[in-house]
Amino acid sequence: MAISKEAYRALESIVGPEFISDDPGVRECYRKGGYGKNRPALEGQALKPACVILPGSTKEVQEILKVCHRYRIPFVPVGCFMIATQSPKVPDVLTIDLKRMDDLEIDERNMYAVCGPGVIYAQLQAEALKRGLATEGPGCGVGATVIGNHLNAGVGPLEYRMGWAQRRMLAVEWVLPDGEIVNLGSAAMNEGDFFWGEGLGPDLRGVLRGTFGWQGGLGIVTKMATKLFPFPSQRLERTGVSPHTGFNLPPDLIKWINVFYPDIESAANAMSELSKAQVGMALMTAPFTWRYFSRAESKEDFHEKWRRDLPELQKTTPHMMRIMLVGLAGPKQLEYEERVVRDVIARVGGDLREGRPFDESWINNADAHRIFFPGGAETSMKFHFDSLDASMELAKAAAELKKKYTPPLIEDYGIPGWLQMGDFGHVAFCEILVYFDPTTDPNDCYMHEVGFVESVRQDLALRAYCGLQGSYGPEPQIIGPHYGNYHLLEEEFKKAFDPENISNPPRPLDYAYGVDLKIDLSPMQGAGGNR
Amino acid sequence: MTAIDYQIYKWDAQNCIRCTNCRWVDFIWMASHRFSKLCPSSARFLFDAYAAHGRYDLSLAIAEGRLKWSPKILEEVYACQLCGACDVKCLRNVGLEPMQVLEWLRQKAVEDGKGPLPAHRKIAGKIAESHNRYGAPNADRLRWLPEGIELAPKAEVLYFVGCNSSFRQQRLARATARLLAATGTDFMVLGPEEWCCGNPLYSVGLVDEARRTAEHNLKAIRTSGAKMVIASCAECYQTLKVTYPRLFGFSTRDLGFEVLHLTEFLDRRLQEGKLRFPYPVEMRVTYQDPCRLGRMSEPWEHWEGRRGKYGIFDPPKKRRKGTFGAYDPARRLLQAIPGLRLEEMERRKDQAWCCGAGGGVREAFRDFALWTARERLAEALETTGAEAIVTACPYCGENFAEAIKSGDYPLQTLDIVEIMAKAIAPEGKED
Repeated sequence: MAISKEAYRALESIVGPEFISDDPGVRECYRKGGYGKNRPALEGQALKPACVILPGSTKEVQEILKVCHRYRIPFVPVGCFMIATQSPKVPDVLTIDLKRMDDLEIDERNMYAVCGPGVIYAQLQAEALKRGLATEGPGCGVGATVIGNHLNAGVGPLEYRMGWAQRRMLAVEWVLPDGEIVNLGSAAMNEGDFFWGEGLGPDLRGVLRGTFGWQGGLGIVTKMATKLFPFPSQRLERTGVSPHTGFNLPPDLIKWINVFYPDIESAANAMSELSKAQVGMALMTAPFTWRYFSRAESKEDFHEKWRRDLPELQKTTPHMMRIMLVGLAGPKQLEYEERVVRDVIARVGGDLREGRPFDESWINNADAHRIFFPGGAETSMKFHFDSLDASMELAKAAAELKKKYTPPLIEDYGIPGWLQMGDFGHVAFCEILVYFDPTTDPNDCYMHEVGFVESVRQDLALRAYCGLQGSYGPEPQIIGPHYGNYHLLEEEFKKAFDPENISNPPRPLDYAYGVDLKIDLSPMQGAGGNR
Repeated sequence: MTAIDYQIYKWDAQNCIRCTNCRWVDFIWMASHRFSKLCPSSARFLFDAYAAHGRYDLSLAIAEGRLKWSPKILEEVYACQLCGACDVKCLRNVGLEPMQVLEWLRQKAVEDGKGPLPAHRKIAGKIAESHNRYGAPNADRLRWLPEGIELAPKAEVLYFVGCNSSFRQQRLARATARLLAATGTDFMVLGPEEWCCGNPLYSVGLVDEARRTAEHNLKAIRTSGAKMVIASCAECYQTLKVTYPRLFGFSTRDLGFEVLHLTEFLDRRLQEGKLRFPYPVEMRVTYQDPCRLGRMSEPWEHWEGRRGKYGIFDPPKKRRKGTFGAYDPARRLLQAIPGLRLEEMERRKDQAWCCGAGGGVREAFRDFALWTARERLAEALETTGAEAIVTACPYCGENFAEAIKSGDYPLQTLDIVEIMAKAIAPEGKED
């Protein structure tokens, strides 16, 4: 343990001996995160923390950070630690596990919730649904912490109506790396009032949020309010025994409609036309792999059926578009929205079929982690927000690129991801997934990394928004110039808010990518151009 | 040697994605913030070393020699009821089997001469010496037998009484015998030839010792000629049905006899019209699914082979996901009792919160066992308003009873056999 005994005693005096540990077993379990851990840039450099501490309140967090500041102890905050960016990357780190801080208050009348950093989405959704309200379960699953996800991207299927998590952020309580507390929005003016996000003068929420955020690099958000939305949850019926659990949907209030197309252009056109009508709760395409994941009894079952059906799927390449309709104001709204959908599809074409009145994936996103099930690892090759046309073009190009690396990546017959509408069609999200086995053959991992770098080159060539920057992707000084030199601005913020560089260093600006892999990143320096 | 081949399940430890599903109630069934957790160990001790995903990390570090056993690491491994909740949750989505690794860690601790804990060794000593966990003379196994109940010298049904009902809560054995008699079932028992089922041994990693007791019991059962073995204890039930085949490398169907929990057997009798409950029991109750009767009770399918790319089992392996646990028989029986009102807790069936007693926890970590039970009692009171928490395992009942006493809860705990015995006999005649 490289944290001095004096500093350890100071930390222990804040939380008590029960909530701090330098035991080697405890430390071992805070080395690796989950998502992205197979990326050599993340796992390969992950270190054990020197010590782990579990604060129980904002005051304790504040005191801990003051000790860190005084003794220059680097610290890493973790919520659920689902993401590998919270793996310590410098020696002698204090990991601050925030799971004890799971206070949750819901203001039903004003439709918002105030969450501590240990609250996960599933807890928030459970309490919201009891009150006829809902939040959006993010694509990464409802085991994610609400605050961690709001500081990241916060993409999920219901963003069509509810927007990304980062846009649902209201007032915030934020402890800076030196222990100073900053309150944002209404909390700045009235202590304990988290109703409103905006405040007087510049809105510092803009510093906190952004795609992939700060990854704990700017202190710790200890409290945050998030918007909730009306939802006819009273008649959702929980059903089933694991693994077949889900909600039976009240057919007069919630309905899925699936429409099948022979090509992605037709599906995208239908999504565009439906967005103009501004009906529905979720609107997206869904790759068929998901259907096979969710219906498979086991890995063996999946791979057998997938291999069996692949030739046929490759011939027909069915593209499925899904829209969820919800009668927020009652059955008449659902009837109206369904008529609109049927009118639009009659006009633009498509094979329309009603979906099962059952949901396991979207309202509470309970099966998000099935994407890890076929291979063992999954990563996002693209994570892209843009116009629908641009997203679609990128999806098509990514599908072609992925073929070069398949196998070892798992075959997907040319539909490797999905398009998803946000903000009633004002933005289209495209995510391309790759599934692989990171452990059995090291070459698979290497091929995945090479494909990933190639994918970034593709982004630059297509002038696409490269969502996987920072710790997930190539070095910021290489891709930064293509994206308005965002990294220089990040550096300035980091210096201003964390002058001692103790808050999860070196993140979010991580300069070690590709070094171990000996992948030549230099072609990127000349690719594309400034956007 | 460990009974579990870590090389097969190392893939799982390496590919845990740390989604933390193993800590939480199924996200569909999660109904409140208060009762959202499913792993008692993680909920009580908080550090990730006490969750299945952390124990995966521990297993890798121990297997690779990066971590040495210490009292603290033994605590991280043993402060867990092996309730199977993490397994059900992980198999739901990611398809990994954390229970294999949790059990391997204990077997490895024993193999390395570090485990189990002193409290477990004490019980193991009693079992070795007296063939029951209490160190009582095993010749007294039949002391519970009430007057008026005739044991058949030879019958198709064998009642495996278990240590607890034989020596501690003998009223449960008496009630079981009356219920069997009420359904016209001829049954026999092994008497002094019945040894501890071996669960207190296997669950703490003492594989060889568990094998010895299992060998004896299997021989005794087979010699008896029984076609069906009935247990009223969930631990005995699961050990006979699942652990014995595991220990000797065959499948449950090849045991040579059927293993049923009493609730499964009586439920069959109820459906056949051979069991009736003429006397009302006016009571509002909730039901505790014992882990080893519920999510951990699916039959064992023997598998031998290798693990290939993507973690594929070759030949294909059938996973035990908890889907077909014995959840409904007890509920049907309770609902058939006139006057009795069954109210469900939020965490139920495959998502039930453990009583706290299992996996050697009650012996080695009594405070943790009682804390776990109190969490369940709080749920029973806050979400059901029940007067009693009914279970189908004497160890659940024992742990709840102590927790109720220590916390002065306005709630009683009853075994399902006690309630059913009240419903087949007039007041005061049930025991």
